[in-house]
Amino acid sequence: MTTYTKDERALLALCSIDGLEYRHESRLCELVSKPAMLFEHDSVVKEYLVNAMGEAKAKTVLMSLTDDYADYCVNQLDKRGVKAVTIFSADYPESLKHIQTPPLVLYCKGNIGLLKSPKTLGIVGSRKTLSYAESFAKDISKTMSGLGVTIVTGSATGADKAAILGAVCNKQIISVIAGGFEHVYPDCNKAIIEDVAKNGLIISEYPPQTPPAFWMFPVRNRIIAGLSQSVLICSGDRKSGARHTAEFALDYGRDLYAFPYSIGIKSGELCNELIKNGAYLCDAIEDLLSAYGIDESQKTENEIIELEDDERVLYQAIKEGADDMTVYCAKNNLKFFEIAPILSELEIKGLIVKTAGNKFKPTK
Amino acid sequence: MISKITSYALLGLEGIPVEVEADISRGMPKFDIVGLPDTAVKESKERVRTAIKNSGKNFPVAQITVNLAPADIKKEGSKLDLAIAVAIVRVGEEGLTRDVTDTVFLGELALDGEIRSVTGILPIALSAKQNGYKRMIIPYANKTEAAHVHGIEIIAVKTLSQVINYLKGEEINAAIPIEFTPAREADFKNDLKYVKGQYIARRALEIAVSGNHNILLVGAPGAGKTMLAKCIPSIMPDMTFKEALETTAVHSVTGTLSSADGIIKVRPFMTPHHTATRIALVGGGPNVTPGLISMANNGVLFLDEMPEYMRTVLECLRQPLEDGVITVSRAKGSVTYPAKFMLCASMNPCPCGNYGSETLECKCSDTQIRKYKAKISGPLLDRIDLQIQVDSVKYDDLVSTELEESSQVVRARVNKARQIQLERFKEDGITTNAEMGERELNKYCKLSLENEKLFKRSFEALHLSARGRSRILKVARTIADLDYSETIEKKHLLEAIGYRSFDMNQ
Repeated sequence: MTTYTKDERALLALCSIDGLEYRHESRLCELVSKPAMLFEHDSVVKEYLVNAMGEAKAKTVLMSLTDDYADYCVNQLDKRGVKAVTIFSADYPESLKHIQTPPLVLYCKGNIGLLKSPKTLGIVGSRKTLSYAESFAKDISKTMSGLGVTIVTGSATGADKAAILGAVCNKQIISVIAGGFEHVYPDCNKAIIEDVAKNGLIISEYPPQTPPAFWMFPVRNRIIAGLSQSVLICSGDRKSGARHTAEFALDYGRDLYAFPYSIGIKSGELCNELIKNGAYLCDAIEDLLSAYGIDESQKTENEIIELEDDERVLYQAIKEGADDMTVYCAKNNLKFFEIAPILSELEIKGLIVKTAGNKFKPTK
Repeated sequence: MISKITSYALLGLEGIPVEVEADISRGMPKFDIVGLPDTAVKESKERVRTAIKNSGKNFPVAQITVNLAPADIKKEGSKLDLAIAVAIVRVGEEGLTRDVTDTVFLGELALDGEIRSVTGILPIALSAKQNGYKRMIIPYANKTEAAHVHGIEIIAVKTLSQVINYLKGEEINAAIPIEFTPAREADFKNDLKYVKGQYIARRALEIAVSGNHNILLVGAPGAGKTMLAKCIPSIMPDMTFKEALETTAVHSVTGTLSSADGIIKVRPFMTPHHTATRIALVGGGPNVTPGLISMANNGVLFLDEMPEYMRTVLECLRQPLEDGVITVSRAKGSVTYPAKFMLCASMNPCPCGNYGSETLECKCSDTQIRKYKAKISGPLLDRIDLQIQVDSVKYDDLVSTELEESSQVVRARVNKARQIQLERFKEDGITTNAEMGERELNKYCKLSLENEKLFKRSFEALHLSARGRSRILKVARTIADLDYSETIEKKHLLEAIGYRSFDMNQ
């Protein structure tokens, strides 16, 4: 059995009680001088619980606040290979300690050392991120993580997935899961999240067996914002969950970056709004590099991509906004099969991406 | 006294000679048909009786027994009417002396003695010719259809009395055999020249048809997927006489043949509705009739909004897509129908159709989108070599009056590419690139070392699945054929990579 201090064990037991809300948990911790005292069932504790939730419920909570239950919780975690980092632990990230509602326990799987990363960047966005924005986000994630910045993100498809795919090869990735580890949402990202657990770190503030609920997602976003030095918002419409992350980031005094979007693009409304209200505009990786004090020359050298003449012509045209190849062919009197190989070549070189409806967008 | 007349029954597309024997003996007047007749055949009693009476002959007032041999095969439909009537008239009347041992009688009778068209004339004529029959007496309405079969005399008749006079010795001119001519441009309902813009999709269609690859068109509602698909028959290679006969035989059995042409020259384009059942698609039912995939034989099966089809229905397509035939087994027996078709399917990127659009909002949840895409299983997707996106046409393109390249020009290129494939696969027992297996891929789709490297690089850069590898190679082979190139070169491979499958796993 992994050894935890008595205080930590008390927190583990406290946080594993079904239906006990965060506000009660944190209040209980404040009532006693140190969490280990909770096991002694003080009259203060009893009184608080009875006032807060009634006689019957208070009784069940007190029944769980025992050394035996703590043993049981630790056992459960050990069985699943999950390590708990409590707010008293030395591994607990400093940046998270100072937010208003720090999670009492972080359940971790993977490289716990990442919690103490000196440089962190949150990358979040909507699940419906346009593919060129996704591709750009991935690129940023890859480069930044390659330069020693730990990327913090969620577990959803779209922008989160792009951030994970970019950073996982550099092993500098923290993915914050909304529910317990046994219920990764969405299902289709299970394999990717497992990959993160192996090469990076996944964390959650709930015990592994907790099923996700809709309210956990915005609550989870405070951890992403709290862990990050700066937060990059890749996409989002007006109602997107990324708005919560942005708001938390501002509350915590983090720098906020956002991709710019053209007029009328639904999935970019949030970003434009944030920029309007003072977020930094990020349309090139250099914007972030200088903020992290990284010398541009450190950027990996294989960035220089050699282009043939015809490739350069087409790339330039796409950069200038010629995204519809049917129109491009008609204007330049070309047959599509003449440019098809060049398009693929540019795609393989990572300079353009194909988006819905056969449109091509530059990524750099 | 007994008289024997030959007619035909159909089991699937296979004709079976039926001996119709009629006997008239004295006794209480009655009329029996024995030898496993179905309801339509049993009812023919009444039609035969009235038709004979209305043709000015006397219906014998005696004990009439008609036997249909072989007695162990169920006979269906009304095509035996004429043979039964002739058999009865021949026993009762003197002077009908013409030798009819090598003549096949087919036709349905109307109450006034007229002869109506029947289904399945073409496969029966082919089988009759093979079995050594010299002559066929058939309904006039089926004349053009039967006249395409050479080597058997086709006598088309309009009424029962005409047949009786013929038996008395009067001559009827045999139908002139029709030479098969390929379809003319006017026969095609749709032409690519009216499809504005869509250069990527046009090119993809040309490749798909050239290599007989199945194709999936993905695009927002109104992008023009259906219009593009409808043009496929017009760019497919000209039908050969053999193909035309194969396809016509199926349509003859299902009764979907127009009597004006008598033969199908334009490759069929079948569009089952998405509520279609398995049996409607693959064939079956009480009479083991061919399904829509057999009616699409040598043509196109178009599944519009593919994920809307029932999954079980889609899974049924896997085996025929592989084998080109479908064997339908029922209590009555097993019947094999041809089902060599090109599959063209279309779908939206998500249930609401706006996923990935920059301007329109997609209202679908992740789960909905995933479920929508998961309707098409991996194994089925593996059989679809080309999966392309279709873009909506810009307004400027729509209003321009300039015509695009016509189907005729495209078809000429397709014909050439097919010719190259026929030459190449002479000894492999296949005819098109789409049919290539691992063995042929190794033999004909070798990549140079440099291209192999490029291919590997693209897999990493574009997250292609290993499953997609052979699909891309096959398509690259077809692109090389369209370019008259012996080997697959870099540009061919690159273009093929551009038509790769979009991410269906999410």
